[in-house]
Amino acid sequence: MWIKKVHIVGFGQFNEQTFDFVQGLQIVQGLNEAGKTTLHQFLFDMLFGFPQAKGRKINTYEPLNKGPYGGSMQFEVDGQLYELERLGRTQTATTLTAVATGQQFADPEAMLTKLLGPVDRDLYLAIFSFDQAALMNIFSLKPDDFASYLRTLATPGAQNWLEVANRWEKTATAKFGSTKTAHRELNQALANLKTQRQQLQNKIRQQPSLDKLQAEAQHLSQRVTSLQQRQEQIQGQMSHQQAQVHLVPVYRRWQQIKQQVKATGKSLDLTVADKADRVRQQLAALDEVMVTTAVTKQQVESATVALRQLEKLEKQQQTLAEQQVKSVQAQNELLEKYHWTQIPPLLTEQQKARLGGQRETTQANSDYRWLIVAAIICVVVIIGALLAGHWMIGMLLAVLVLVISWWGSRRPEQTKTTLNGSQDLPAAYQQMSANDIFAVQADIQHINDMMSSNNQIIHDQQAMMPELVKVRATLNWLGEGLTVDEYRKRLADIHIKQETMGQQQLQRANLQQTLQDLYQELGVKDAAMLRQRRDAQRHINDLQREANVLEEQLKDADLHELAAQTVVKPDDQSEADEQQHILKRIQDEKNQLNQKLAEINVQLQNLQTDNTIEHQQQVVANQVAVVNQQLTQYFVDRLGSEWIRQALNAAIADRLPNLLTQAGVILSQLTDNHYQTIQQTKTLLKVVRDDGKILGVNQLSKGTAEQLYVALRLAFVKTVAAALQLPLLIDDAFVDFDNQRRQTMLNVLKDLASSEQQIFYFTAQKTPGEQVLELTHQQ
Amino acid sequence: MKFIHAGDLHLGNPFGGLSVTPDWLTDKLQSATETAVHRLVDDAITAAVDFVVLAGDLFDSTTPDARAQLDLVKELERLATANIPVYIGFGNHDYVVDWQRLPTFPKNVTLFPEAVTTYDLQTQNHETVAISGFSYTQRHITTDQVAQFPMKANQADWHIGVYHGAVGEVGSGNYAPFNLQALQDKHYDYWALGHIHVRETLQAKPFIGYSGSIQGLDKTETNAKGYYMVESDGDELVPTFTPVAPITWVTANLRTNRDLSTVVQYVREQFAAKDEFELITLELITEDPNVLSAIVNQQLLAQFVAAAQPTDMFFIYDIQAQTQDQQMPLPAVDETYWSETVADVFTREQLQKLGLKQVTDVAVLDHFLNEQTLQELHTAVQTQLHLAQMGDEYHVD
Repeated sequence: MWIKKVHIVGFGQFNEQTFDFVQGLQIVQGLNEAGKTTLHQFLFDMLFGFPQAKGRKINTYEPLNKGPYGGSMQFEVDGQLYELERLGRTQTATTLTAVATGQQFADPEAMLTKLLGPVDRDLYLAIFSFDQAALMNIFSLKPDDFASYLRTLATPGAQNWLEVANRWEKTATAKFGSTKTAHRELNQALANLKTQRQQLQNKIRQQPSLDKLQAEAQHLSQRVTSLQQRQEQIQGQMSHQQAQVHLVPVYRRWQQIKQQVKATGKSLDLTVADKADRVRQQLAALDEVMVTTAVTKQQVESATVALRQLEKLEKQQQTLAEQQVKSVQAQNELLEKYHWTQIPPLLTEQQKARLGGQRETTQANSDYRWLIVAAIICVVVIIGALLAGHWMIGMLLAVLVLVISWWGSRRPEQTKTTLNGSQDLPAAYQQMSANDIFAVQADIQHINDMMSSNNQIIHDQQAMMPELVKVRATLNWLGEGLTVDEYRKRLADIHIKQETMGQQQLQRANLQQTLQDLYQELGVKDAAMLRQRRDAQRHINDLQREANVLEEQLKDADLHELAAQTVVKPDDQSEADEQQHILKRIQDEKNQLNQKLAEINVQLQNLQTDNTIEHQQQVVANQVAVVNQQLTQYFVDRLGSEWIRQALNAAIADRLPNLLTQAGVILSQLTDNHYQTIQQTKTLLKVVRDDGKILGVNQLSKGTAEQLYVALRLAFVKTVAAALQLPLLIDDAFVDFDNQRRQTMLNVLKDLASSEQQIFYFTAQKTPGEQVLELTHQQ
Repeated sequence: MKFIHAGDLHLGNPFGGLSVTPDWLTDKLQSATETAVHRLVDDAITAAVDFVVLAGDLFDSTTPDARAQLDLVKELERLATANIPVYIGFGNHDYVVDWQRLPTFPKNVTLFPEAVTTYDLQTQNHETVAISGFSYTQRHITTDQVAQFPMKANQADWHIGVYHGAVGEVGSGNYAPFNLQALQDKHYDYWALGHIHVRETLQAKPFIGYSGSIQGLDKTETNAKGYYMVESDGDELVPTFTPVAPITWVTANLRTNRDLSTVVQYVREQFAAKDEFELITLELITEDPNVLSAIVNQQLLAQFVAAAQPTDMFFIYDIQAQTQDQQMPLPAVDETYWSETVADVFTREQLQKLGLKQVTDVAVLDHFLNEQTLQELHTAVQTQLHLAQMGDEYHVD
């Protein structure tokens, strides 16, 4: 790069002033206040822009006349001429124009960077610009720092970056201590992370494990189910037993009945029994209508004979009575006919004779006979009655007989009387003719005959009387004083009765036989026994029915067990109590298990909704992120720091030998071969003196140290010259040098300067040479 | 024939990488994976699929949270009610330590045993399907599992392989390493893969691929997450991705020159309209030094967290500063010096030396011993160097 010309519009003391510069070494000479530094600063600012901020430390070189600020510069790079114009300190208007084409670059800074190389203001200051102060600065540094300063020189900008590296490292270590007890940000964050992880672990530990819960829930469910089964089993058993207990008497009763039924053997054939009963009822009915008579056949026969006799006697008596009546009638007819009151007696033969005779009959004897008979009968009857024990009847009969006998005795008396009245020719005849009397005599005779016949009859009757009495007595059992018909009827009745009785008896006998057969069939002796059997059978039937009912009840029961229980009677109550106890225990356990199960289910439910662990996991993840972030920043700082160091070190390691060789040559020139080479240890630079002695930087004299510094600087510029085309600005750096040293210095600068490397050397001292630009106050 | 292929549910796993979560967000996060599974089940029932295949890592660990297990069981029971069989193979995260200790799954669930096993089923359309798979019973499987799989069953209309693992060399890979050719050689109609959380198709026809996780659980699992609804089309089984994750991780770039007083409000307005909830890494492109500074010292993030509302459909959990000039070189020394030292600086040993050795937390260690983390640290350091460089420019004495 060759800065050919600058035109200062306004900058510090300069005002509308133009400077032309030569290629290679351009010495700018001027007394103090002539504007060397101003020009130096103007060149610098034209390359890198005007200072942006005002400050006490920064001289912004405002134009003294308060006029426009800035200016322009023409420079040549690779044979191309460019004009750079910067006007205005703040909000500088910068234009970069390719002079040949007149092309104005849109981004002048970028183009500038492209043309000049990637050098910033600081880098430029570090390499291409130095002054006395910089040299002096070396000696204010401590020897150890000197080495590092030298290193900075070897790597332009390195000092700043080393500071950055230090700052970063400091920032980083302030956040993360290496000791265990450090309480810095990152240590704290890591500790928090650990704590939070611990909390997470605790929470996980505290959280019931799902599989365990599920397994336990399953286990509990199974246990509950098994308890349920056991419970049901026991309940079943209990209800079975209870049923058994209820059934035992039933069973017993059933057994008892069965035995009873069995004992009764063959059951009563009821049809037969019914038949038997029917037959017996028939018999009973028969007995009801059974005609019974005590009258024997003989009796009947004798009665029949007696009756026939009685009838005969009665008939006779009747006949006799009729005859009597007839005779009375005839008598009465006669009496009427003759108006007699009484039948006159027959005329005695004398009378008859007189009139034809009369006849007389006596009847006195018969009067007495009646009474005697009666008395006899009476006596007999009485005796009979007495004998028979029926004296009253006997007495009555006797009285009757006496009455009858009295009645019988009276009639003849009347007759006698009548007869007595017609003694002498009875009055009745008196009125009558004899014929009549005779005629009547026949009638009278007849009547008398009849009368006498009557008497005979009466007599007969009387004679028959005892027989009649006898016959009647014989018939008395049929009834007393009955007529024959009545007797006959009775007898007939009796006969019928007897007939009926016979039939009935036959029937009865048949029935009786049937009954007996049935009884035999039924195995009973009689009705009572049958009734008994029936009762028994009914009882059995009842039992059987009961048994059926019981059997129904026993239908589902285990009869063997019942049989066993009936034999070994269990202590029901205690067993039941025990079972109740067991049941209660089971129920209790079941309740407990169910409660546990419910708890587990609640836990499972909670697990499903409980996100504390996830929350804590997120907290941990966040804390990991925090740690990572902080640690990343920490590492960025530390690694950045490290990288800067290493990159710088690498650069130094790479350039230093080259640089040192170059610097050695320059130093040798500057010191007139007194110091020939520069060496390098790990951290220190050393110089080799012509006597072969190796000296540390701090062992050098001030002048030599400054020469070393300049040598290094120039060597560096030489080293980087290929990459960077920037002018070197040296501002009165060599004032402390003696003349010889300064001349040597200028020679070295001349050597260094070339068409590619422009060097501005600002000095107050008179310097020989053609390319000297004199600055005066006037200018 | 129609089925759902899903995997890597990681139920009960928290969302990683969120340093601060307000309570309302925590609630959202905790229910997110469940919601995703619930939606999957809803869809399965609505679509009346023939079966559901879950290709491992249902849970994040072998001892998952009880609630997560119960929730899955609840969802599986819903499928049981709808008579939808479910085939589950356990993965490297939820490998089966004790089959007895698994939650009680409903009857419609078939668990693949340790050895590769084939189950047959009939679809509603009377197609026969053979499903082959296995379960992890240890964290790592280094042996060749594919060899155990039978060739495609002749009598089956469809043969589906369920495989939880990653492509790799037998003997060196830990997750049932397989190579694609071996899978292809089985001539299956579909390989339902699990393990890789990013949806990935290894072969389109017949399909061999990962459905990805059902819900992204950290910032690496960005964008929509869900399952594959697989339907027969001729003699092919065609998967269609169906997003169900209620929360999506995204990286959002935003350019703004707002200053610190208005930037929060402005950015929040940009994200106001979202259908599904988003967890956002904000890459803020700004030149405002105060904003940049606030980004670097986490103040801006704190402001966003403070401004977050329960009604928001987004949450900004990280903010990265992006400068306009990404190509800016590293300062001071030549790029070569920076790059040649990278390998020495960004190493696990270096991390250990610088303090990681003090860290005992496994998750943190895992994070920092990860190659990718070193890469991220590298990038972050670069950014910080740039910022420092820029900061120097703005530096005011």
